[in-house]
Amino acid sequence: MSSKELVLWQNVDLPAIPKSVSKIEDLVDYGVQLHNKDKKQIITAFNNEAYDMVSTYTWTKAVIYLKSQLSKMGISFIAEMLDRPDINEHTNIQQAISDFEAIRLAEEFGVISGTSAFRLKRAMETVTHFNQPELDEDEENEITQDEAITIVRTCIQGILRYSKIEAPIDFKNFRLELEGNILEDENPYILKLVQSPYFFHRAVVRILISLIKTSNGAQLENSLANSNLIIPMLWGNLQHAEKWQIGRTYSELFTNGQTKAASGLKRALLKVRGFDFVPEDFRSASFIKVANEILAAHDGMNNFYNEPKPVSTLYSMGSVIPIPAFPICVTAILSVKLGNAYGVSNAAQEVVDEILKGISKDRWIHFFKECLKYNDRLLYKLMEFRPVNRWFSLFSASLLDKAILEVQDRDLVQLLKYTRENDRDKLMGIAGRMYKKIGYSN
Amino acid sequence: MKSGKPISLRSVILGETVSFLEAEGMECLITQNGIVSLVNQLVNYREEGKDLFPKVYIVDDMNLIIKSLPMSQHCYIGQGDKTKETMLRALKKCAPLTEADWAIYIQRNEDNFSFGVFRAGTSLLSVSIEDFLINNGTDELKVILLHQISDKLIEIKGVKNEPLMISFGGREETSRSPIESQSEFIKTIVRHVDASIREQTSNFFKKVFNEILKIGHGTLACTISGSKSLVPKRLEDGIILRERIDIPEIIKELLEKDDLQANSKLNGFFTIIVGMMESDGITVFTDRGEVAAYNVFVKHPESIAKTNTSGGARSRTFLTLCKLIGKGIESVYIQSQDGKIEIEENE
Repeated sequence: MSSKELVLWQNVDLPAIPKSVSKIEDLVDYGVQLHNKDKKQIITAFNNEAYDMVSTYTWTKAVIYLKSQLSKMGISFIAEMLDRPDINEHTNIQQAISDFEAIRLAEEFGVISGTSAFRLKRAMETVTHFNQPELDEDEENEITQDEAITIVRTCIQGILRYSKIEAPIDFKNFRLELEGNILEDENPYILKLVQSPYFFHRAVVRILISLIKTSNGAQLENSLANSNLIIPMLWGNLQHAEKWQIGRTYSELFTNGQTKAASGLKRALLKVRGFDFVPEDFRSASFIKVANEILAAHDGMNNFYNEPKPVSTLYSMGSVIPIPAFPICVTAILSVKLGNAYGVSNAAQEVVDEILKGISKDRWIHFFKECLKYNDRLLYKLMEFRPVNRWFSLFSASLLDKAILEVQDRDLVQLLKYTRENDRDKLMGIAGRMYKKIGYSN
Repeated sequence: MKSGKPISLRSVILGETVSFLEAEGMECLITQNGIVSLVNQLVNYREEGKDLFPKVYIVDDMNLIIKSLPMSQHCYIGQGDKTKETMLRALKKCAPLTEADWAIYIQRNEDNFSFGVFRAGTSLLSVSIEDFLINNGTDELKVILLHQISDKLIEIKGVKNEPLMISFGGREETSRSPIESQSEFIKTIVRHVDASIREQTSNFFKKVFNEILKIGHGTLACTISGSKSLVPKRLEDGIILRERIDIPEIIKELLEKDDLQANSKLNGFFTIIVGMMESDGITVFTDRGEVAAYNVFVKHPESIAKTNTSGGARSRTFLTLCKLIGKGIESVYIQSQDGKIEIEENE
């Protein structure tokens, strides 16, 4: 491996666009991915005060380019990294993964910096909000010049000024190392891995799973040997979402007849006594699929309009969510319930409330204990003013009291206490710190 | 009056079983006696006039095994004292339940034996229990498999030992089990199948060939190069399929769509291919996992026609096909009615 440093993948960024560059004509000049025709259209629309058009156009260009670059890393790899069993080699990546997922993935691979990811998420929310068809034709509901400039700058700075977006060399080497060699437990990287932020644990597990599913021969054997070393080391600290992902992969390998791969992963699961995380049937896969559809709607354009349909589908699938699908389903439902900085999908709220009512106290305690600590989506929401206000109305005092007693983790206890006390500033503060601890920059 | 000379296999089997159990870390006096009795019972096992081929797994932790087998089912049937009689009762009570893909388990508990049947997987593609627990087994899951693999031939397999083959017929000793020979031939069928689905295609054909072995029907098969669109002239006397049965393609479809339709297609072709292999003549496979023809007959050259083989026409055809290896044929497989298997392939 070329580097033994813990921060495995980090892109060597081009220097930021100078602050002094603020004119639209100068800004678009940095966008090497924009054709001259694009640049002209952006400038003309901007000068005609069509800021909505400028923002949406630039945003769409940026996110399409980002997704197409990500897809070059292999669709099945992307599917594993996102824990999306519904995506396969024939899936159109532009449609299948949401803008939020693309940004998150790019950040996780080190393709874009944490600051860029933060700004891109803000830009995404702004564009999404102002594109809602139900917004009144009011001056207040139009993107301002400043907002448009910020969006254009963010898209160019983060994505469009790169001639090629690719994962840093360290990341590629790391993947190659996992499939090309059998790592020893005294390998410095392995020693440091346990101490590294959760973000890396999750990434390593997902890379291993992807390698096991897709490789053959010596590469498969190396990946399995490394899984047998790494999974038992990380298992104790893995969240249920990741444990279920490993169990589900194992079950898929078995039913798909991949004897060697299934047997290799069996060894790792035997070591950690992890068979409780192997789903007993395929029912959970349908729930996971619908939960991902909810998240895709939530992250996409016209989100408030598109959320009710998949939410209703989830509701109609039955009141008890299978436990392997619970982490992703509860994340999807809470995403709709909490909304974003601009509001919520009103049409989806009634059904969401029904689903939330169906979640038992024990399941909620399970959620706090096993699904929240490293849940970047929800923690990100809890760093925002309006979603936090909605969060306060979700849980009864008695449930929170019970959860505080049962949850061991210090950060979680604090988060629950601040929730119990309706202390918005402190809650936002702890959510931000927890988000950072996962390994994200903001 | 002359006294007779008794010959019994019992002491030989017992001796082998003791060291077998020891190597597996499963030493037990009762188990070793039970295995000898089970082996004896499994030879050409019949119930109500019907031949049965139960697989018997002797295990130490059935709960863990069931947990580790995805999509598995199990049905507890009963329990009894820790004696060989209980092991035999387990076989008697469970064997009629094992016609499809169910297997028998006998769990060794502290004070008794419990038994029942179990299965795993969802389709023909799923990893077989034997591959999973034995061929790719681990120390943590202690398991021994006993089954009849062909006429009068019982196999005992464990995780650590080489398989033990016990022949009750007059056949010559062979170091290679029929299953191994089958695997070698199947390798030639999947040689040019896309690497990403070669293992699955191989699993499918293993199940087809196992079925033929169980049925106890003799069969002849050969492989030709999949790159040639026509079967060699010498193999034209038979049913040449207008459209080859492309198993890897169906497997790909099943893996992609994962729906009932693709699954039923694969099941359908499983039955058809078994039927083809049960027909007279040769079944022709390609090295891309396809079936190109069946019910094919070849003319025996004079030199072979006059050969005094004990196996009759099928053996002569095998010899004829062997002569064609490298001249359009890549490998040849013969399975006689008594389960004897031979293969020849292009080196």
